[in-house]
Amino acid sequence: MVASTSSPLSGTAAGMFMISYRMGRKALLLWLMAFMFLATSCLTNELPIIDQQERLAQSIDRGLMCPVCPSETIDESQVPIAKQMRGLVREKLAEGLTEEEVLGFFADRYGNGILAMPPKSGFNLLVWIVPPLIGIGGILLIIVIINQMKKPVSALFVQMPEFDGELDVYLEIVDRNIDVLKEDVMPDVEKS
Amino acid sequence: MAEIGNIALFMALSLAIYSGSASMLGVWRGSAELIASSYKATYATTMILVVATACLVGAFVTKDFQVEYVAAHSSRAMDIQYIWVAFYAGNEGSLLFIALALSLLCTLAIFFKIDSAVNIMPHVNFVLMLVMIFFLAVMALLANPFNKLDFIPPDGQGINPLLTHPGMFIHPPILMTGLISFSIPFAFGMGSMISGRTRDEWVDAGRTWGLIAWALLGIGLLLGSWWAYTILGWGGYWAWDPVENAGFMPWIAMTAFIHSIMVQKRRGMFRMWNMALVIIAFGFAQFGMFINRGGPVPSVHSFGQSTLGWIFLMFMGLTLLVSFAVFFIRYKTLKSEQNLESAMSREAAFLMNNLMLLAVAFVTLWGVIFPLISELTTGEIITVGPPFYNQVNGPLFLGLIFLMGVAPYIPWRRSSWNVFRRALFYPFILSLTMMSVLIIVGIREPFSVLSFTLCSFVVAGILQEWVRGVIARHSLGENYLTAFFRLIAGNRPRYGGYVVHLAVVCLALGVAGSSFYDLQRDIALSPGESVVIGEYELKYLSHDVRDRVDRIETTTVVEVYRGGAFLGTYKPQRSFYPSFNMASTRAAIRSTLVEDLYIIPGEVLDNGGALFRVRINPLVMWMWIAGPLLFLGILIALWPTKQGNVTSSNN
Repeated sequence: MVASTSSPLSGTAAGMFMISYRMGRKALLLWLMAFMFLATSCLTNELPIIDQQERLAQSIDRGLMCPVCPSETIDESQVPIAKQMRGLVREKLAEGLTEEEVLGFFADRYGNGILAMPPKSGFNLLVWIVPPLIGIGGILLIIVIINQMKKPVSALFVQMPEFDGELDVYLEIVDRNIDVLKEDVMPDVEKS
Repeated sequence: MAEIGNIALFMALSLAIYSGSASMLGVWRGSAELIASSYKATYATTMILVVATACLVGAFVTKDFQVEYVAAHSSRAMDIQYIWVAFYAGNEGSLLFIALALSLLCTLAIFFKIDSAVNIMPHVNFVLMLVMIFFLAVMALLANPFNKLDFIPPDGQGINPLLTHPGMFIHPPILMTGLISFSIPFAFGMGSMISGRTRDEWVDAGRTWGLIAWALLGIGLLLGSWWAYTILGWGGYWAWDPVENAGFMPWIAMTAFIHSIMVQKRRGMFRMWNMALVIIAFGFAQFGMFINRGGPVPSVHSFGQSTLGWIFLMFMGLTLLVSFAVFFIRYKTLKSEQNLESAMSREAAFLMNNLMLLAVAFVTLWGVIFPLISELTTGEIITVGPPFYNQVNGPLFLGLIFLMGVAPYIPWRRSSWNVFRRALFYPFILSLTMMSVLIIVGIREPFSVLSFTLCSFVVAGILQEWVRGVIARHSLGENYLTAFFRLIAGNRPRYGGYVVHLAVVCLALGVAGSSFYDLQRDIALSPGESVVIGEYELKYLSHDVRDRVDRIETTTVVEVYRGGAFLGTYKPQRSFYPSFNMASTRAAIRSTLVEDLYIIPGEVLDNGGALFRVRINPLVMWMWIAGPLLFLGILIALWPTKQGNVTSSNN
């Protein structure tokens, strides 16, 4: 386990920045190490086993909406009824109920609207079904668009139309065709 | 004074009507004078609205309680500085603020000509004036801030205490300005379609104003999070509240737009995408205004008036209808000649980017409207809360961060696996090492491991580019410092973009740290008692109660130690406002780059004991660092070079 303290850390990170811009690739390594220290600082919040119960209670708090506040969970809200409900959650947990049973207890009393997430049944399944559908639809859309947009290179060359007096448009087509021809003769060397 | 304000509103409305008509008439008749006159009318609208604003401010200053709005949002006891906030605290005033902001932006958009868009400016002005007319008409006829009561109340109701925090002096104005600023890129897109000139005239202006709008709204959202974190006293910064989402969805759509417009600039592709994106972004912004103004979804933010909300919904519906109608009429002229040459190209990456961002926006929209759909269909009232958004948007955000790390290194048009590998080899190896070390050291939660790894991947890639660039310039003779600045100056859009991406990584760090590794305890302490939480020891010393004019202020004194060392004395504060029957808290926050110690005061009990909620939030400060970094990045990206507003084809 890494037990880290913050002031040596910030100093180290700052020092690393100072020297890093002169050191090329080593800079990256140092930066990543600084990163790691920050991330591992999160570990200092590991809880002893007794507090796992409190962790669970807080997680349930975040799953219940406060009945009188507009869109706050009872975890966030500081009104008296929210505090009462938090107390009730811990009581029920101490009695041995599971997370689902505690949530169910409140849903029975106040209706399903008290839950931060609708129960996964009936019409409410739609909440969960639609996002993956959007995701899949998006992927299919990409595939279709990419296929539609791709054409053999030779087709990029546009046949020169009759000059109809619109000089701008005509010259633009000429320019683009020159580009296409250039590509075939001198392939793009990408500079970053 | 209120009478002058009222007249000013109607004058502004007339000027806007004239300006819009004169623009189109000028185009139809080929009259440059009419067009110039229409622009002057736009400038004049701004000036008249400044007058109207001054009148409302004047009414507040002189405590003219006969004006209904002044009575509703101020009182004799109110400090004069709060007039700033009271101005936009309510529906009518905020509409005036938005109208003022819009007209100012219109004036700027027309005055600071962007060369490539010169031929479409009259059409752009026309579209802008249509939006302007809507807001002015709604305000003058339905929600007039200068309405007078039949009597003169002896005192006003006072200002909502939650609004007296410094954050409220900047978050709402910037957010509202940000939302309405979406009209500008929209107008450029629509103007280009109406004029029939769909040959990319609007791209430079669309990009510039898109970036400005994106920056304004982004900073507004970040400020809102910061305000919620410091004042609301629950230690969080984002609740996926419907109104938060209302600002979030347009911002996401605009993110897609500002990326996608680069493809049009560079290769003349994605014309249809970009037009659709800018219309959708504006549509989301209008939807946001609908939710803000007492739409059917309850929220901590709502202004409350229900009928006005539906008018905004109709405005959005009409706009979408007309915009897409014009889109279909101009469909053929929007087609690009260029084609996508390879699935492994930057164009394809941008396409992927567009779709992922749109997925986030639409999933969020689904979450917002589903309770309504459910109520209409089954009659049951349910809530879609934070767990939904976190579980669905979370993976999408991770995907976007991955794309952020990879896409800048994929060449345009087509690329091979080798090019790719050369560019990303070191970042990949280094982040893989990082991931292994994280797991070995004890960070196991898969989502957070992935988040940190991807963040380090992005940072490594950007740093590699930067360091390589500086070293290359140095080998040509410049010293390191000059090379650093010249590198950025020589390619502002690219490096501005890198800085913004770094800001996004900072945001991601903050979110990852505080979401997965936070610690929260509710405790009761008697005077002199201490408690150990995490690495810290908190000792409650005493409390102090002060009666102020409009509130009762209770300050508690807490000493913080760590490992025996004294860190400081903190004074979290709680105020109770009897006339509003509301309490507000000022948490005591000890911030370091590594974590925040967050002490929220609860009530003080009769026996002198006090209740506290203590939270330890890792890495939160990085979220606030992201703000100035974002601003800096946008400045760099928008900074004009000698050639003109938007430059080099090397990005």
